[in-house]
Amino acid sequence: MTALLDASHADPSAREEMVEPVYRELKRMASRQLAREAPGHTFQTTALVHEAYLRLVDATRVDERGRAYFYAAAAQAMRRVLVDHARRRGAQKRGGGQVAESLTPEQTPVDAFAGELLDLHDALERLAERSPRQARVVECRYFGGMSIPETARALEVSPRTVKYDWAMARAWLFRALGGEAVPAP
Amino acid sequence: MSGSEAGPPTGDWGRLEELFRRVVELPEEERAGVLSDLTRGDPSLAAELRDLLQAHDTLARADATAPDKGFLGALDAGRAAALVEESRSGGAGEPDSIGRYRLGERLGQGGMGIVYRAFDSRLERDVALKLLPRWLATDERARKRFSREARAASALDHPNIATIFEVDVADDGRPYIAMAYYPGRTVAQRLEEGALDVDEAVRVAEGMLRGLEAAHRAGIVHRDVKPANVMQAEERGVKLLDFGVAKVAGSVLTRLGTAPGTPAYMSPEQTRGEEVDERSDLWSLGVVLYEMLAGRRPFSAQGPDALIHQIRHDAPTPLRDLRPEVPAPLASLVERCLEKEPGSRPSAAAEVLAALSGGRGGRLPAGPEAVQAFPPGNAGGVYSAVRGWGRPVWILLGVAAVGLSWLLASGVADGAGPVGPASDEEPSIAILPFESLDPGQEPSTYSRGIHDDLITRLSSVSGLRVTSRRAVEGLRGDERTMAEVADALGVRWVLEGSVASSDGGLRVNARLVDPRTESQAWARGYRRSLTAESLQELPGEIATEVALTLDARSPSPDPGSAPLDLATYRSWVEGRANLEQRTEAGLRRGVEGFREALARTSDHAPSWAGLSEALALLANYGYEAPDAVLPEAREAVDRALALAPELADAHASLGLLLQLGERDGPASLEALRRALALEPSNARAALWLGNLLVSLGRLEDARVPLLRAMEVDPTSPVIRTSLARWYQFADSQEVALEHARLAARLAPSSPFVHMVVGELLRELDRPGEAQVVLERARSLPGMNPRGFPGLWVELALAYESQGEVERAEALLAEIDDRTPSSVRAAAEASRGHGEEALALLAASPVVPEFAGVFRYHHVWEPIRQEPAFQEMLAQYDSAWGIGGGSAAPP
Repeated sequence: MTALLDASHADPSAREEMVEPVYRELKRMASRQLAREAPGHTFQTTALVHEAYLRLVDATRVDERGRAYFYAAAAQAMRRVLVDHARRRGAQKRGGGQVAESLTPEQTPVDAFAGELLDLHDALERLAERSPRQARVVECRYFGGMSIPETARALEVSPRTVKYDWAMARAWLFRALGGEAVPAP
Repeated sequence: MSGSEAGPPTGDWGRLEELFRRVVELPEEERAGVLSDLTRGDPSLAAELRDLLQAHDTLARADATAPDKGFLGALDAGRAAALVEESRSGGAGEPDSIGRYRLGERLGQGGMGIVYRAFDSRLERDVALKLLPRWLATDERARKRFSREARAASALDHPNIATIFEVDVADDGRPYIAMAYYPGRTVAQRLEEGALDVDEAVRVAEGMLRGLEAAHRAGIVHRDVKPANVMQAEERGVKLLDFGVAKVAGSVLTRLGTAPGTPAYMSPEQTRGEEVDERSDLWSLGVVLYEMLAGRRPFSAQGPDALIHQIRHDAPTPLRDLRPEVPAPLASLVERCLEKEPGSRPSAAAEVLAALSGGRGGRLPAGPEAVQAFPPGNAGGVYSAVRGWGRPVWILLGVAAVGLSWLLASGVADGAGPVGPASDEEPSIAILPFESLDPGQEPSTYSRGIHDDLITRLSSVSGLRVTSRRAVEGLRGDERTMAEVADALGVRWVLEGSVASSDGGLRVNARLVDPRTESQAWARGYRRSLTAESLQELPGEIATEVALTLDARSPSPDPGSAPLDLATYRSWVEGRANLEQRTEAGLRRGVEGFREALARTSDHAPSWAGLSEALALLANYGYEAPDAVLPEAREAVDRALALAPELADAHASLGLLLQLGERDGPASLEALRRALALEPSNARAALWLGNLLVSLGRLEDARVPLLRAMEVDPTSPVIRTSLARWYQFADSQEVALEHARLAARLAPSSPFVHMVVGELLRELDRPGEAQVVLERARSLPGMNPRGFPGLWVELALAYESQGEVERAEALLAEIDDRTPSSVRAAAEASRGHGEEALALLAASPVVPEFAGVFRYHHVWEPIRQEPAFQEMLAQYDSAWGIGGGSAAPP
């Protein structure tokens, strides 16, 4: 993993290769770590990703930029993990054939969340067709919990660019997902 | 997204992006002009850009009020966790085998797990395997309780109880229960085909009762008796499933904020989260028997709220109306089981069994005599009207972002009073959220503030039962008529109103409505300027008018609240409001307010109770020496009780006093419970009860009262802090931190709260943040190491965790010998010096207030099991008047 990070400084495709091992690691950690969080908590994506980072990488040999690349890859991986689960959840609902004794309240919001995630995922794909960079920004910030400077480092653009990208992507996604823009009072 | 690294956008999008960047930060006025210039000749681009800008503005506005909570603000951990957990536990990815069990067909799914038929390859037999959620294994406390319960349940050996073979945890972390597999079907499945024959129903009930009897004798309450848990096994008779486990998993589930299934079979006391005993099982049996005989449930409202209401208050349709051939003694036996109050039900399974056999001409005399062999209930029919005290207010525990709205209400810790329908004798009122009339806006902060304040003020009017804000909020957005709302909430009156801005001020209209006739009993309009002062007075005025109006309309329920003159009421309301502050000035002003009220109306019991409370709190917070104020406090509360023995506040004040003065734990418990029985929405009683239970070593029992206190009064920093402490002791640091932070926002100048926040941050391994919080606290006016050594210790520990040993040492040096030795002991313990800590503790006097901390705080974990420490705890037991008490207090 560390080697990949070393390489990734020079070679963009190495960054892509990082996603797979991170994805696997996150999947493994997902049920253990995520299941411990109490409901209603704002997600400390950084905590989970940080743990994955410590596990996979020899931190002493990696600089700030390498770490940012890692986090960006982790964000991508995180998105995949959640979308995977969301898809599976959706499949269960449609085909599973189980009859719950009573619709326990916690099922409804989870279904809704799964649905929201999938919608977001689709919308992000559409955004990526128009602006791959903006989609990556959203991925880093939402799924990876990364700050603007961190995102800038990972994507190798200026923080200003990230700022504008984030603002515009957010507005676009908001509309794409059916949000109602309200004129100022 | 496939593979391509971030690159520049292309074509039209590029233009859009460029324009967006140019325009987005321009002020409103300039935007329009620049925009049309830049997009001249391309109207569709202009439109798209405008659309985007509007969306951006909308989001920016939302961000300003609630950062991080808006669109794409933050990924919600709870839901993400639930998603991952859910999708792993059901559907695709189901395992084929768990350990030595090969999974077969799915038999059913309950609220807690899925049951499969499985083959035990070692012992070569069929079993029923129930898989439970993973967190039951990972959550330390839940696991311990769960295995304890499971062991007890598996020790039950009775023909009518499903045999449990094994309880263990699979390799992938999922706990499971292996039970004997009985071919057949559950009563639930049987009921899908309609009612049973009377004989068959009785046979099933007898089987259930024999099983219950055996379990109850072993001290186990089932707690989840329902048709899905009763097997009609072919050739093997009736088997009861799922013993004991329901209790553990259920209680842990409610702690995490998820509900364990339909409440249709729960007893009234269960719906309130109270402790239940065998008679709760008998209730549930009654429900099942009813359903078997009638073909439908006795309580069948739609939706959990209405259902719980029915369970607690409504009489089911008499069995014989639905099915005349049910013998009368049997029908009244079922009715007896469905008595709202446990004391009126048969007290043991054996009694019911005897009656059943009797009803069919068995050993006991047949017919009516058999039923009369039981202790007589209330004379006139089973579901009698109000008897005695008030009806518990039904409060919904709101939990978590997922917004579970019907999680069970919490109730009195033991023996609630009897219940009945809303009556004129018992004024009850719901205060609906005040509408904001300003176009396009959510109810403004003002209307919220007024609404909240009104609830608080009216809640303190004795004899008036006010429905809590959560219950009302649960209905928000529903299209219902006034009468339906009042009915759903179980109230006699409804207060509603509206708020609109007008000329730099506010116009507020309030109306008191009789929902039965939809007529106005009182209405008034107010105009106020937008200043804190004028707004703070307003709810008080409205509350006064409402209280007086209701008083005129209904008979005084008790002597403590004879019709008041407005001035007295005002003084009293102010007294109460000042108490909330818990600052020295606030408490003293409170004392003044009550004394004023009493000067005018010397027999106003609530003011006596308030005076007692204010004086006691002055002692509690160290603003006055106990000897200086407690005697007067005692006189005041005695006066209050003499004047109004049914006044909840008086009992609550007594409870507080008993804690501060005599340290009489049991007596205080009794007084506080009485207060809550009289008025379940009394936040003070609930708070003091909760804290007392923690001191007495009953952490679990304290949860319900503390949560209820928060429910009733979410903006009280004292309650929040107590709750934070509870969660801290219960190992839920994250939740504790949320509450503590909120408390800190509500009471920014309270050093104690900041210390708790700092402590929690340190426990969560965030010493940097802890340092920031603690340093801010240290710079509060008047802070010094003598007054508040705990803060110095915490800060030192924060430094130490970050490796700044010198600064830590310097801080600790500032704490001198006048620091209580228990504080220094804590410092030693948290740095790992167990011996020193024990030595210091040995020399410390018993300070009853610290009992809870010693029992539960993690800092003592390393030395808690030492005999010396345990002996000290025994001394604390004595100090509170509980326990074996061989050690006399020093």
